[in-house]
Amino acid sequence: MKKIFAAGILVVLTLSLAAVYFQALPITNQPLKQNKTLVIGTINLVRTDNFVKDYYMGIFSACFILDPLARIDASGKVIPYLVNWSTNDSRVWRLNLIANAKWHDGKPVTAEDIAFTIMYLKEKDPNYAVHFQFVNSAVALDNRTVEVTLTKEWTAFIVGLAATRLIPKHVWFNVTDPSAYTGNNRNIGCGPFIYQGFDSASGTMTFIANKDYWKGKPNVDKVILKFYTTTDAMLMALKKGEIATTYAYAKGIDPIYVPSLLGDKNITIMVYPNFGVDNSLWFNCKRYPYNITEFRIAISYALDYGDYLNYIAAGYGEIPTRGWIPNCWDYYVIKPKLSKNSSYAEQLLSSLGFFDRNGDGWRDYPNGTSMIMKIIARSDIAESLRLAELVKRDLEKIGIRVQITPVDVSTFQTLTQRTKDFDAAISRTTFWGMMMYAGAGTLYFDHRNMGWANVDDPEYIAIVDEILRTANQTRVKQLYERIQDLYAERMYVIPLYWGKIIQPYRSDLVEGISYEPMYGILGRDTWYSIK
Amino acid sequence: MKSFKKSSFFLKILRYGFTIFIIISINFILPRMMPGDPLVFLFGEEVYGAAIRNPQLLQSLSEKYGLDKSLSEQFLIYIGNIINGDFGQSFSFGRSVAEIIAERIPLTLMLTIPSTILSLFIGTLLGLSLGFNSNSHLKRSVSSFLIALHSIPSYWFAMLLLLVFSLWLNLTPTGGAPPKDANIISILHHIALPFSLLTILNIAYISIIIRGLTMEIAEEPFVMTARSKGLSWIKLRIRHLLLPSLAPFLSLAAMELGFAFSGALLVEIAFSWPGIGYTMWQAVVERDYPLLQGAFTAVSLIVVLANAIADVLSYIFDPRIRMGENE
Repeated sequence: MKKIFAAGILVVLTLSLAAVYFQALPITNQPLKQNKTLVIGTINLVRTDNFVKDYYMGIFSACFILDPLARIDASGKVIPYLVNWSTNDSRVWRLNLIANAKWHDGKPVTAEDIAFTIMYLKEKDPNYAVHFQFVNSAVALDNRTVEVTLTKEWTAFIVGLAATRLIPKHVWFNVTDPSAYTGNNRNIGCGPFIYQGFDSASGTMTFIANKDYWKGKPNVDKVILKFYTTTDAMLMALKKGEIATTYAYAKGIDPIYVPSLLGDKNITIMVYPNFGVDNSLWFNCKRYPYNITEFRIAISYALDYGDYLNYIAAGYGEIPTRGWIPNCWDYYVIKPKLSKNSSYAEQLLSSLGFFDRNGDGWRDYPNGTSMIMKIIARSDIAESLRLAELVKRDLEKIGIRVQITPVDVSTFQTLTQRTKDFDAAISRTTFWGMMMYAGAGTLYFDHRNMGWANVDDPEYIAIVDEILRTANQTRVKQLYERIQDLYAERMYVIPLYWGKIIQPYRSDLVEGISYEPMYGILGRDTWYSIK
Repeated sequence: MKSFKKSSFFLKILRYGFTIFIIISINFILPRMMPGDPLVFLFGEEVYGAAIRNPQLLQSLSEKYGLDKSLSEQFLIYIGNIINGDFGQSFSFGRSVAEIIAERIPLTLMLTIPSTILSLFIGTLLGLSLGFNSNSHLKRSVSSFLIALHSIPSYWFAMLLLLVFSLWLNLTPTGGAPPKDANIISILHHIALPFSLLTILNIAYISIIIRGLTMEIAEEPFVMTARSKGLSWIKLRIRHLLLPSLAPFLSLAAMELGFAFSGALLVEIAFSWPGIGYTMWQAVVERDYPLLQGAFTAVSLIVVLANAIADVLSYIFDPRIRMGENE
């Protein structure tokens, strides 16, 4: 036994010596102004560096390599970028190339590239088959003008332009399956950074600044993305200075991490408005009894929104209104704040015939059978599960039995979008999701689209259809206001809290990070504001 | 007798072949029994809903990924491809599954092989020592400590190691495997924590098992006789305790390799180590059926192979097995 312990001590000593040696290894965390390299940690894992194949590679390509035709400003509006546009009837659109952009291989960007990109991506990339579903043709009229003809009037066409990553025709025109393309030129774009490589073993992706970028060379020479499988490890890397900041598409970090970060004098926490709704309780509005407006309203009075804000969002946010749309949108209409009134909720439910009929302490359906509300929540988003537990607690207080089913993202999307086999679900919305389709979150409501809420209310559907064909922005704003009336009156969905985007960074390594609603801190402004 | 041996050998081969076939079949069925749609990850969450309402688009993608065929057709194609050494194309990586496995398995083996060898060595010595005269206070305390160590969730332990060695002491990186062009120092730097974690957990497990086996054998009369003859500490343990427990030890070693792979899964996730466990996790999340099938099959084959080797070694080293067969 003594010999074993002696051997153990020897191992510890050896490891200690090795530790002293390793400590002498160079540390790469130097301020940006010294080595002009920015290291960003992310949990958005890239599997392959093909932007058609890989969802997150698509996001990072848009942030670094490929320029969009239009972009989103800080207030969430679509504004011109590579092109501006005009239309008389929302069916035929003229796109004018306004930037003197060059591809990373030195060739000029032309209208031909724009027309090619629209038609090629519509045909080859499943995502753009949706974005450009009403595009009939795109033709270059001259070197700087493209005419796009749609199959119907469609104002949301310009939203698709903000998602369009311009690709070079001379690289892609011969490629029949872009998702399988492995040519060395597959990541040539005209964006502010040139793709350098992806090391899947060490989990790093590198971009170098494009000195010929049409808006000028970015303030940073090199950006390294470092991939982490867990937020815990990523935030340790931030505290340690291995990374200067963190990135997660359409969200910041979970607020529960904030207290531990606040204790570090080198870490600064930025707080931004969240254009998505952090978490909502989505009813399947085609399933009984969630198809009853009064039932949904009763549920809305049973929930303790203050607790959700404090326990889940750690106070970073606010209690939402009945109008669901967050108050950072320019078409937001003030509606009453959601509040808890358990006795009113109970009274409403009882008046609808949902009361305890067999004396077991739980409310039953009016026909006497037992009622149980099955809520699905995403297991990959920890706060969704914690929130589901709090919702369960509140509903059980008014006698509604609840069963929570944690599901992974694939199962969640299949149940809520494809099979529609669920009672209620807890999930967040993204800024991009709020913009898509007819905007104002209609993508998530309308049963003809993604439709988590499965809404087929004729009045709602009529408004969505009118938004989709209306070019007059004043009228669109009126329709957005009306849609918020419906959200408040009919409670298809209950917003649980409006959270904030929490973005930490190390102020000893980088300063001047900007933020935009679509790509967060990786928007174009950051590259010219960071120091 | 020779013909008996041959038939016994043939039966064993048949048994392994059958095991492999069952594994391959389960690897096909299990992913498809999971709820969820592989197409979710081809679109991203915002576009999936609209895409599945476009029958033409849905049809073309289903055809492209072979999801339009019946399960039996898919199974036959899958078996045919495996016979030809082809695991198909990964849905999410867009590359050949065999290529991805060939790239990722070495990273896992880099962790598991040395970890298994070292933990078998230390765990065996520790287990032998703890199992002999096991009633001392010190040995009972060490045994309790090992049981507690074995009960610690590996993810939590990984975070603790990261906190101490990476954040507080700044000795190791917070995650990732060594870069492609890494030198030996960089490799050691990256491997230190995941390797240590796997090894510590394995040592705890192996020493508990070996301690139990030793305690049983230590009560045998031949051990008492050896002790009364005044045999040295090392000779007694090796000749009279280790050798009689060789057969279960070899089975344990083979099983340990299997556990090392499954244990490595959580360790790889915690340390962002892109080995085969991490890849299987990604494949499960993304319902990447071909990758899931290929990765599970590759790992299963390694474990079956390890068991086969353990069987052969047991036959060679353990006279009881040979005699049992002769009888």
